[in-house]
Amino acid sequence: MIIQRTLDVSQLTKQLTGDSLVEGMSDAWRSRVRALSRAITFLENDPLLAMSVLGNAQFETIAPPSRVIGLTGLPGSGKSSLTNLMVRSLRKAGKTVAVLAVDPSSPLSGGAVLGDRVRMQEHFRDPGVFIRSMGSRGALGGVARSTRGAVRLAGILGFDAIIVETVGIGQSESEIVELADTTVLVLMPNSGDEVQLMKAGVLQLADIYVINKSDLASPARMMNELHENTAPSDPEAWCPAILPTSATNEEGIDKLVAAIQSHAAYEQTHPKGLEVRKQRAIKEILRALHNVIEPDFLQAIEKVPAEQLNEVVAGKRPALAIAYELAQKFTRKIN
Amino acid sequence: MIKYLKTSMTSEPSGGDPGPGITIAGVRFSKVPRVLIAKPGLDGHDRGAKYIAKALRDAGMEVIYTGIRQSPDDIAITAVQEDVDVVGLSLLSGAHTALFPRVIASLKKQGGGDIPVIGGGIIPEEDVPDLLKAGVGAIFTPGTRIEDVIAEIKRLLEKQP
Ligand SMILES: Nc1nc2c(ncn2[C@@H]2O[C@H](COP(=O)(O)OP(=O)(O)O)[C@@H](O)[C@H]2O)c(=O)[nH]1
Ligand SMILES: [Mg+2]
Repeated sequence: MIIQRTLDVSQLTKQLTGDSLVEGMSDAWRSRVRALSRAITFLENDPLLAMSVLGNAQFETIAPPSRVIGLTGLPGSGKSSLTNLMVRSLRKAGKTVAVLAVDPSSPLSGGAVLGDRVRMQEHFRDPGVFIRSMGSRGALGGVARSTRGAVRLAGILGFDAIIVETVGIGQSESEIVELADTTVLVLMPNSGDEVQLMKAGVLQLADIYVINKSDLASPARMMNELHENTAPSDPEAWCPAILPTSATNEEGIDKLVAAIQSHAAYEQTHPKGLEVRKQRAIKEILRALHNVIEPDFLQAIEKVPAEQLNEVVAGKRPALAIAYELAQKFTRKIN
Repeated sequence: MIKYLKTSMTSEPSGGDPGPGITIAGVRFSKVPRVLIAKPGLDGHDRGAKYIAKALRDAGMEVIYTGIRQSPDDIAITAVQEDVDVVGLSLLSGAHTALFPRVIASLKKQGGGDIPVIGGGIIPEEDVPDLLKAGVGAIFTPGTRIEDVIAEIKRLLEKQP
């Protein structure tokens, strides 16, 4: 179902920075949070217009960059429960936290039931915590297409940490690795299938591995397998931490938060870490470029003559040939 | 699969193409409706709330569900952070005459005074007029059919500016 709303974008950008207050509000922080939630809605429904909000150069100087922590792992592995405890631990250390929790959208209706908040009730009234649930809206990379924009918007408010909980369905979760500074993969003891996936390299991308529900079964075997499969051959590279936790018994959480902090320190001080961050920035630009330019590409494709398209359908002309021709027009334009 | 929605600008930015840092005033955009289904009060039964949540999902809405025993402030803060278009309260405990006004007041304080509040559950017919007068957008008494609930929520959602 689709409805219409109106938004004053220039007003909104002022409200995000606190230069202007949301109508009827006197508390500056609450007003900025209200503006943030409206801005996320705007991006969520039209990611291509992200530029009209996020392109505002003024934002870049007002807040130091937030640390982005990604949490991925199968549904039911305990991501939301761990997020709740991580928020608690970060709050005790005086840090402000934003949580973006992505759940799958129904491919049939486009609707969704977003229930990650149920596990985070203790933080609802804490003004230092912002929680936003997002439907994946057809995206397959574990996060919604607008999640990155939402992370950047939360960054404008200067949250110390931004936790992104992904959908967590299986294998195509690699997008979180591009988006997060630190990626945590949540596993369970005895989830042998996942270790098989790891051997195939699919899940070998995390910075920290957590074996949650260690109260239910010993994590020892799983930890050994992980050590064997994730230790980097380059001694200078980050060596992924492998940690047992139990969200139910509230065990292992401080170690997890400490591991996230050491990974941050590694990235900020080690030359290899700096290189990783540079690569991530390049990927972010590439993805943004793709998003920005996609409508132009679609327009160009619409102008491809019908007979050429039919030839592609009939297998007489490779799609790549058409793409190549179109691409040449675009590169001429850029140069 | 969801197609990306087209946004129309009611006031064109000067110079045509929206570029970096543009200032545009009234942007009209299409959105998927978001609904908060909350359970205030002390009773611990959420079957009804979950049933409604799924029905609304199947009608194409994003439903934020937060679990049982929520205070009016919990509900208002969640509604604002989740930027929902309507708040639905599921009430079985009989405290509705007190709870609705408190949720509405809390929403105002949090900057969500524009978000309509509706409710259903065990609410006797005779209380309905007063609740509507107190600003509640719609009340569903026991026995209301789910299709009628959905139709009414849709009507409310489309009515807003
Ligand atoms: N025994 C046990 N159960 C847990 C643990 N962590 C989470 N759970 C339960 O696992 C279920 C799914 O947890 P949730 O955090 O929602 O997982 P998510 O889908 O990955 O976000 C819930 O019923 C939790 O209570 C744990 O450490 N031990
Ligand atoms: Mg979850």
